[in-house]
Amino acid sequence: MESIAEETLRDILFRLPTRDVARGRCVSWQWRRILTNPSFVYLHSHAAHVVSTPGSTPAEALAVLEIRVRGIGLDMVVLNPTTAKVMGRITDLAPAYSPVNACNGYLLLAALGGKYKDWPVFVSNPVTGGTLKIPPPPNIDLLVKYAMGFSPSSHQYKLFCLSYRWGAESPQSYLDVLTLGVGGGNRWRRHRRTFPNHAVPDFFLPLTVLIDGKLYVLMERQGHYRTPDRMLVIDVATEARRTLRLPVDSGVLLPTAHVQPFELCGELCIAVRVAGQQKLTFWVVPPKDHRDDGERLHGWELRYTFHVNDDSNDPPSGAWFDDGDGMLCYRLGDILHQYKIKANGNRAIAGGFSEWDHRIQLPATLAQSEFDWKKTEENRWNVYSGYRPSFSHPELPLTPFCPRRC
Amino acid sequence: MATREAGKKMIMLKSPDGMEFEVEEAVAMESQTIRKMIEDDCADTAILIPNINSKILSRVIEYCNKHVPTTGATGAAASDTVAPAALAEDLKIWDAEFIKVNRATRFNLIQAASYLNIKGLLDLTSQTTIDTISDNSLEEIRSFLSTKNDYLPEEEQTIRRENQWAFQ
Repeated sequence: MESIAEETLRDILFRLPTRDVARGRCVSWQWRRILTNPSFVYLHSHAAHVVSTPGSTPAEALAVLEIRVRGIGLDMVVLNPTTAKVMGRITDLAPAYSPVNACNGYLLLAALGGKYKDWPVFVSNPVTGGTLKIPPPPNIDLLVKYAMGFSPSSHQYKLFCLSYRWGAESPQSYLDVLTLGVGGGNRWRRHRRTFPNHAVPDFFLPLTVLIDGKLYVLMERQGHYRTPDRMLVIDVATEARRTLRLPVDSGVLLPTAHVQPFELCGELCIAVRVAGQQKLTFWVVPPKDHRDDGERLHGWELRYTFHVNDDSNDPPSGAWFDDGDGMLCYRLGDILHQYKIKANGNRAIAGGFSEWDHRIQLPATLAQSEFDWKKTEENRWNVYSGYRPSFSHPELPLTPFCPRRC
Repeated sequence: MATREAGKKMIMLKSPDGMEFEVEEAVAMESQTIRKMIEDDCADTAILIPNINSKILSRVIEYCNKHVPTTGATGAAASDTVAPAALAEDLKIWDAEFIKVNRATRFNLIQAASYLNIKGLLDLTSQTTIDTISDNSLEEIRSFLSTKNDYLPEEEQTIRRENQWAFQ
């Protein structure tokens, strides 16, 4: 019987996406030996088709269920948001931690809120369980937010920390940056006056999205609680910052708006639901239109409008794209709404309402997310887009192919 | 010979079963292995290609003939009339037909592409194998790639449990 030489087989298997590498390990001892070889794993987890580069595997959405036992600890269960299938677990965290964003094969975990400014952050691979602990930047006055980014052009992973200092005059904003792995020295570097002072990022809007080397962080106007009106856009490679106005009404009396950013086929998409209006809109801005505008609106295109029944008081919500089925997903309370983008054509009829293809009752594990003071246990979950599974270990140098700076 | 036009150097390739193939140098140089031999001046007479029988070698040459960049006098004229996108689309369809071969032939083509270092052919033959792995069950992957399942049942169970997240 003809078969392939091992060296050739290894070259072929190297081209597999991570999920199929994991399945391939179950084929035979020979395959397992090839696919668990440390140098294979290391090179594969940094290969162009595995990380975010043009033409690589599309990013997935991850659901992270946080199971908190008050005063004791926190476990996280990482699931596929559509099938509720478990992908991994992160255990024994302090209850103050939450996932911040997904970046290739990693999840960034940080303790949210000003009083945790001296706590470390964790970079975790939910599939392998590997975790890296990183101390916070020194001299943080008011911690605002962390984010993790990857630049396809420089092949670098970076951590970003946004913070404020309240002085006698106007408050000063800082952006601390740490390059992970070789060449970065794991030292924080500080940029001053990093974002407009009237914009205050919201602790309670932890969603940050990474698309093609750019981080999008939701910001709200000072004094307008839970009403984001712009995004801070950080270029991971150059560390340049600018703001992007959101297509939401910026009048003085703003109702609470729920804005969820996510990646839709390589474009930045936001789901906007304004409290009290039984309406959900999806807006897209193609990457080439992300100009530095300050106050004017540029390039946002209203893509879809849906009816939603939003009768309960502030139900948990989340938006994401399921690439496998080409499904636009919106979770409101314990109902998952799905819309088949590919089958329905890429653009909705202008001005009209689109119809959901499915309204599904979520599986019990994902449905319960109410916070109950009487209970000692609290479950909540959120969806993070931009995940690309890999076997990379965060403790290994993260930038083996860094072309210039090493 | 009809193909022996001015400016086109010919190269002789020999398979181990004694067949000889006369091909244009540009076509032969689609193989990085042969290109190196030619550039190092090791290719005065015929080049013997070990381990690749005449049936497979003729298919490899067929592939290289189709994929050699159309440069030179006649090539330039051709690319003036045909849009590059249409040309690429035409090549894709041709590739899809080319790869419709039985398993043994495909394995041989993979080995040949690997030895001769022909990137396009290696990409094409590997991709069909990658698609097979992505779209089929473990049992089907094993039978497709003639791989024996040498796990004990309990070993397989443990390993499947470790990698359970990847099975949808």
